[in-house]
Amino acid sequence: MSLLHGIMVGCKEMWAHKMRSFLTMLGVILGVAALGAMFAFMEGMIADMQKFIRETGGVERVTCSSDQIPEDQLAFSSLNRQRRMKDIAALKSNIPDIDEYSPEVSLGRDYPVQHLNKTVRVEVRGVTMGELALRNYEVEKGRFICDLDRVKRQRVCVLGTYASDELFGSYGDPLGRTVRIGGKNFKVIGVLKHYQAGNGGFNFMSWKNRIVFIPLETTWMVFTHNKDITALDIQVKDTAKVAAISQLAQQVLFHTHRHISCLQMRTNEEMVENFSSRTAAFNITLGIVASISMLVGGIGIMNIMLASINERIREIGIRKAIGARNIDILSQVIVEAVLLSILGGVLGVGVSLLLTKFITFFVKENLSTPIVKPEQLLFAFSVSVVVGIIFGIFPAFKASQLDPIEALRHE
Amino acid sequence: MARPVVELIDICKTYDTGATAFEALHKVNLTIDEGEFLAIIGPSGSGKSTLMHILGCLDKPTSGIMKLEGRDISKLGSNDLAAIRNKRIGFVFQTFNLLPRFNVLQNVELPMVYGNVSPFNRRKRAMEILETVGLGDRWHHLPQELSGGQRQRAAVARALVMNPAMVFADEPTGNLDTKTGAQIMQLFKDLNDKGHTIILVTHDRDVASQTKRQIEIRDGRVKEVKG
Repeated sequence: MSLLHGIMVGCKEMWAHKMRSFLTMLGVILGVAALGAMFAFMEGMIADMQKFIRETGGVERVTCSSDQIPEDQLAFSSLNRQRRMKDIAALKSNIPDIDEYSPEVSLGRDYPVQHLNKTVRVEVRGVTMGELALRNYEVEKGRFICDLDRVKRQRVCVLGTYASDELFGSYGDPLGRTVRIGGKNFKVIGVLKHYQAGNGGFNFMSWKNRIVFIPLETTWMVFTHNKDITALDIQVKDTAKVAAISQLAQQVLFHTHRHISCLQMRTNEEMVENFSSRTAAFNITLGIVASISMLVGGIGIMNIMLASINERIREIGIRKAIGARNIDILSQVIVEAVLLSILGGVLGVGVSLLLTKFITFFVKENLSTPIVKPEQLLFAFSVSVVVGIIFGIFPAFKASQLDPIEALRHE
Repeated sequence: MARPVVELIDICKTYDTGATAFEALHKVNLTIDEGEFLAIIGPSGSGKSTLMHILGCLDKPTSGIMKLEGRDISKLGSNDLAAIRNKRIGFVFQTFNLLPRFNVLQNVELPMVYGNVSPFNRRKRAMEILETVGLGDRWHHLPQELSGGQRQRAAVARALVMNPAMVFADEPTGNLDTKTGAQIMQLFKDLNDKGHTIILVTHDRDVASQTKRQIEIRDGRVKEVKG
């Protein structure tokens, strides 16, 4: 039997029962739409998360942050010292595999920076050259802080776009101008790149723009009047070694801090793992929802095919009488079931695109821009076709086994 | 001497209805030659339908040998029988049995769909045969748009389209008024004159009397009446 004939019969049947066919397809439509929309949003979330991880220094970065001092060490915790440059020296001399260091002093997240009568509150951070590589910043205009600035305790600064736009938006190029940081004059030597990510008016990378960098040693001399550092990050380019080196570094710092466990090394790897396990859980949940609606859609198709062949027993008898083999009847019913599911799949893909747009339109904040990948839509669509085949088999088999004489007698 | 189209040798058909076995056909011997116009008559329950189903390869005998154009087909499987029904046998039914969603042309083309005839040849052959039965100008109508007589002509066209060895007509005039019935009978006579082998199954002796040979079946046994 020609496939074309089967398709023609299927189309005629669908057209003859438009409402019934549409309602049957609804299950498949919803399943495919759910699957397609889920893929798009997951893809968007993953992309944003990857970007976030990359922008915070990638998996090569190890953060050394303060940890709660254990109770049994509290009595002599005053022996502990702040993190200082000697920690860096110890790390450098003991662990050659560390590629980059970034000692920092933060003056706080909303430190006043002024130009003429305008003030912005941003994070002011004393840094070294290492900051660029470790925190993944790029200079858009001018230059970054160099070692000579540190040695000479230069009063220079590099502005993030938030500060430069707010302070110099209408005054032109900020390079060479002077801003007042905490009441002290600093010359602007560079402006950082603008970072933007997210959907609509929401920029979840804005934290990266709200920053002003000054030389580490200048910070000590002008502001903190000590030589403490508030953050110490290291970078290991060979990602396979990150975990091992992070442990080594912890031990080295344990020594330099007189065996008081006040520091905790954390890798971005953990963040990635955390993220991927959450993504997996999310995927599984939505996958179950989508499979259930596919299952419901499939059962709907099976149901309607059973009803349809029941109405057409006589037709099957006629076809058999004039020479249709069992396989001809079988394939015809399957073709009809697959037609239903294909149409449902196509509509489902359309609905998933609409759904994605719709959700993006109404939920602007805290939502990653969905990424529609054609191959994932194709996958969702093929699932629907497979559902049609699987759930078409039983009715098709039933139809093919009908006895032609009985079928011809059927009223 | 005409070639035999079909030979039945000691054909028995028994239906197993649980406690008792019902013998619908008992040792039936029958030969039908090419170009015959035969009527099988008998009251309902006589085994008439059973005989037609076996002759039409819709059913298999319990025992005995059936030869179609010299070939023993009593042991064939359902796929082979389907192919034989498709190529060598045509059916015309009392209730026409046209597919309601297909127009006349598509209905007539249907056997050729299963016979793997190319779409171009299908159309050509179907139009040819529709001309023969006098429906050449009605090919695009749906069955429900036609009169009973026209529907039966379409069904005859469908039965003939594969050039079968024999055509079975099961009470072909049963659902038609006398005048239309006579026209259909005339059509069968014309076709028989052209050489088609036609087997009429009926309980109506008036209809049967118009054929060249009649056999009567009663309680599963066949009796030659005229021929």
